[in-house]
Amino acid sequence: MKPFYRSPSFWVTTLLTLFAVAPLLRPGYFWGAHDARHDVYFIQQYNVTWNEGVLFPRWSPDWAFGYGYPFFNIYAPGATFLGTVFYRLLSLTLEGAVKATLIATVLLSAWSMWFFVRDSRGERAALVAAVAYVYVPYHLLDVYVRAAMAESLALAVLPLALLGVRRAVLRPGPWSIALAAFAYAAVHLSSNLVALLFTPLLLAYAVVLAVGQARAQDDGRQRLRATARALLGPLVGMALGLALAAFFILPAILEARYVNLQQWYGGYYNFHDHFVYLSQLFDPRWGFGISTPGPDDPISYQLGLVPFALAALALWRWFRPRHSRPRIQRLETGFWLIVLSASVWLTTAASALAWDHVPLVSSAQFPWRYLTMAGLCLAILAPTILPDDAETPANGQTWLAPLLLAGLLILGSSPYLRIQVEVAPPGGATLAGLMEFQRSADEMTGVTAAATEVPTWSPLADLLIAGQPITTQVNYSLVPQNETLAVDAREHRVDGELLWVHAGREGLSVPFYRQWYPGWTATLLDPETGQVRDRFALTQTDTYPPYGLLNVPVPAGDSLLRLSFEDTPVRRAGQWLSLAAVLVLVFLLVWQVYKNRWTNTSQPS
Amino acid sequence: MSVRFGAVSAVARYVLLAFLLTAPAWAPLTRPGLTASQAGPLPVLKLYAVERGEGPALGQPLDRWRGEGPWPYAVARAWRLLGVVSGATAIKGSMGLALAVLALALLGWASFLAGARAGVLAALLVILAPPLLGALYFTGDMATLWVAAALALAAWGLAIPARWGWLATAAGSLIALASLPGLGLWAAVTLLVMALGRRRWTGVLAVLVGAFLGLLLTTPWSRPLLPAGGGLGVQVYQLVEPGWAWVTDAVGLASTGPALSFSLGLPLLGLLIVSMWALSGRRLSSVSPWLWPLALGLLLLVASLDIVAQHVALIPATVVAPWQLLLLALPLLAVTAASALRFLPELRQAPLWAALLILPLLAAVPYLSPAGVVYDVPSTAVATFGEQQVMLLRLEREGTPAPGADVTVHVEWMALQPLDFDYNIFLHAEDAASVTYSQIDVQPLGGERPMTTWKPGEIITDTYHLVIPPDVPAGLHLTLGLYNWQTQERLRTAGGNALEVP
Repeated sequence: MKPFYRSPSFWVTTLLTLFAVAPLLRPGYFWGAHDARHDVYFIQQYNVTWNEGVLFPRWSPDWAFGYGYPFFNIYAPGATFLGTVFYRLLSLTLEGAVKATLIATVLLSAWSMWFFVRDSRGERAALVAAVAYVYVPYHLLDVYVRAAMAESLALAVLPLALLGVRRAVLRPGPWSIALAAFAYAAVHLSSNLVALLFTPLLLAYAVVLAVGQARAQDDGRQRLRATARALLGPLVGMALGLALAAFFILPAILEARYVNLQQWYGGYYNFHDHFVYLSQLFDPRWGFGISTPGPDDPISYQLGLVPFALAALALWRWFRPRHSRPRIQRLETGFWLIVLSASVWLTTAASALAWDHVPLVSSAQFPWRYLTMAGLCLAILAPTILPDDAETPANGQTWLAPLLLAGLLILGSSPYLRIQVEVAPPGGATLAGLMEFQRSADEMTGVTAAATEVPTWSPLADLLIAGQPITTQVNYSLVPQNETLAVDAREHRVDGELLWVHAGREGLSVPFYRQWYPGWTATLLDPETGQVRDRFALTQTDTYPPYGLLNVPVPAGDSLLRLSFEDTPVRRAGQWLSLAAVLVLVFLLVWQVYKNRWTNTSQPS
Repeated sequence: MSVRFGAVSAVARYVLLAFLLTAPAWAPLTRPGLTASQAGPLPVLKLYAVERGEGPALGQPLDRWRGEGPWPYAVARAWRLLGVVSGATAIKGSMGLALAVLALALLGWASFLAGARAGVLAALLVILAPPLLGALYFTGDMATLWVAAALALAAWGLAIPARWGWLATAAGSLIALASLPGLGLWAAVTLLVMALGRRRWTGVLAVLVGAFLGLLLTTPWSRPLLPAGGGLGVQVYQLVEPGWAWVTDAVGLASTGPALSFSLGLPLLGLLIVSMWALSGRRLSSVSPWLWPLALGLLLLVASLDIVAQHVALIPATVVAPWQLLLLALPLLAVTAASALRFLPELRQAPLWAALLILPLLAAVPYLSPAGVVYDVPSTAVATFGEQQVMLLRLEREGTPAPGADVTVHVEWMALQPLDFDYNIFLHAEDAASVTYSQIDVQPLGGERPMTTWKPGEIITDTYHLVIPPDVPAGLHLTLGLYNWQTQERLRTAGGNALEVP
């Protein structure tokens, strides 16, 4: 297999992908796209904390009108991290950073699918699959209608995880295990939801490949053993991937109960209202609206006429009684056809029973989200109708068919390569804009489990709207500033602050405009010497109603109070686990490199 | 045994492929409610009338040659007997079955002539052709679809040497005549010429027997009316002009453009040219299986043209609109077009063939987003005015016509045919001697939708308020009706020239 950079197929794929990203190069920003405003503020919030030296900010300070929210503790940070890197390195605007991230995800999608399909079907098929993956309507919908940065990044890394698992089964070794681990970790760090939907699929794929590998064995027991042996590589890879992403996954799972998740379920989020009708899967209309009950959603849930036709032809070919393809390839095609059918089924009301009773199914939140998996399958199946590289004579003519199919795929999706540029809403990409967004859309107003009400405005929001900096988040309206209780703010950070406090008696507390969440820690220092007198984690009881804001108890007398958002034991455990996984992978790879060198040098020349 | 199983599985593979690839055309039939076609709820009302034993003549002002026969409704009724509860779903089931018969017959016919790959292509070229999608979703012309399907079925029967071929031919002829006698007659003549030309004497007999049985079922024994005012014929340029299309951006809107598309579809026309080129220069005897469909298809196409329909009185006398003949031409031309795969083997190679299958799908994109209407069709209409001109589907009254009272009447109108006059609507409060004490005389929707703008099948919901003066005698009743405001002549309804509001 020649290096990718010497493959014309790779470069043609890259060039053909440019049509898909071209609308993002248009001046202006698609403020009306579903998550377009969120994306801008996600990067803004990530960057604000990064400015203060925190590379992975679990706490987003300006959510909920400035009370803060542990957004990146529970929401996969990959895409926002990438956007922030672009924002900082390329000196882009926040809107430009979002667009750059989406462009990167589309290009990455093409490349990752190209690598995955080349591994099994060769370069011609890789070209068709990569183009299909980029132009499948749901992918374009993710980019141009939903502006779903996280899901787009997840789509970009899914084929790499499949490639890692495939190699770990068929060509096990440290490199393939490392690829599986890194790619699977990347899926988790890109999108929680996609990771949930994708994990059973990835496991099933590993099992199918392993069973296919073991079919050569005659004896049933030997076959079972061979299957288990073949599964070892991918399972180790996936376990290492989980460990790599543990710094995020562990807190996301174990600390999710400390935020109010009910806010995001029920009402509009009732999945029964969002099943896709069969006719919608083939309806070529496009739209920029949102999902609504009934068959007339002003948004498209089509599979794409050309990808669907190619999948139907894949089924036709798969049923062919005489076929020259390797058994493993036939098995894989069958697997993807089944996954496609299951994914499409899960988007429709026919699967309501599964949605009602299988928690894993309903974790997708909306039935149409299974189009993510359907899109993946459609792309992988798209080149099935092509003859294999081995079947075709090696001359220039054989490129006609893949180029023709790629052209048809692009032609079929060309009406959807559109972006709706709009005038910036009030405040635009500023903190004032974020406050306006929270007020007008009731978005990014998440509260923690200590809150009994969702805030609708705050004194901090007034400051931000007026363009004034926040220098302290002490709630001075509840501090008498006399001999009973007096406070003087000395330092302010987005994730903490330092105060001088005088309490006239025991049992008093300093109220803050910050939401409680595990990790908030109070450190009491001697005001003269700076020595630590006391240090304690704040609990849910250290709050005041109705928004569950921090109310930090202070001892009688003068003291310095340092409030900081720190790692909990769960977060520390996750970080150690991730570090351990990195070390194991580095060891495996270094060991493999040395082993190869030793083998090469010990061979007689 | 294994050979037979292999053959069956090969057929099943192609049938499955055709079923899947035509999904964009039939999937809109699975939407809830009715398709938003010009026919509106009329087919459902006709089905209910058939179920009451009244026949499908409802809303048919024309003679029985050009009116619908019982077959499409018999199929819909069969769906109802099989447990389909809603009349709308049963009608859609009948349309879906017509599509399935058409696709399968074309698959079989073209497969026999040029191989299974050509069969799938022929089915796609017809099912995704704009006139067929137009009949399905724009005009809601169920009977025409059945005639096209029947023609394809009968032609398949004529082509194959199997013993049961004559049965398919007879069934096709019967269905064609029993669906739409006038258009069915064109189909039967086409089949007869094809059978005679190919000297299939059993086929000739089968066509005649089927046609005779079909005529027995429909009994259009009166002579076709000559001359008759038919619909528009097709202009030559319209054969390639895209015409009607669904908007692709906004959802919930109906079609754009005023006219049905008569374009045969560029893939079909393109392949037809390729086939004709491939057929040219070969011995006539060796290409006769393709020449007959081609010649007859082209003849039907020419007959559908406006310039011909204006001069040949038989055309408007037997079909409601000459463009219906295009739907008969489609299967014949598609079979010839798909035969390009036989004469140019490179087109049979999987990737190129795949591209050929995808082209009709892409060309059909503007026609694949039909709108739907969720409307609870009443089992029977309240009244019909004029010569099957306007139907009153619903009528609700609030208040009683007592002295000093306010009465509100809610109605749902539907035109059964295009109306050539803007009739007024009246609501009178009268006594037993027909003396009017209070009245309103209005244009529909306060003049916003005069009746000449009503499309057949479109439902117009309107409300009328009548104030009864306090100094009138008790015991008044309300009457509702339509009249020509120039001549004061009322449109008649059952039992008189006005409807008594219950």
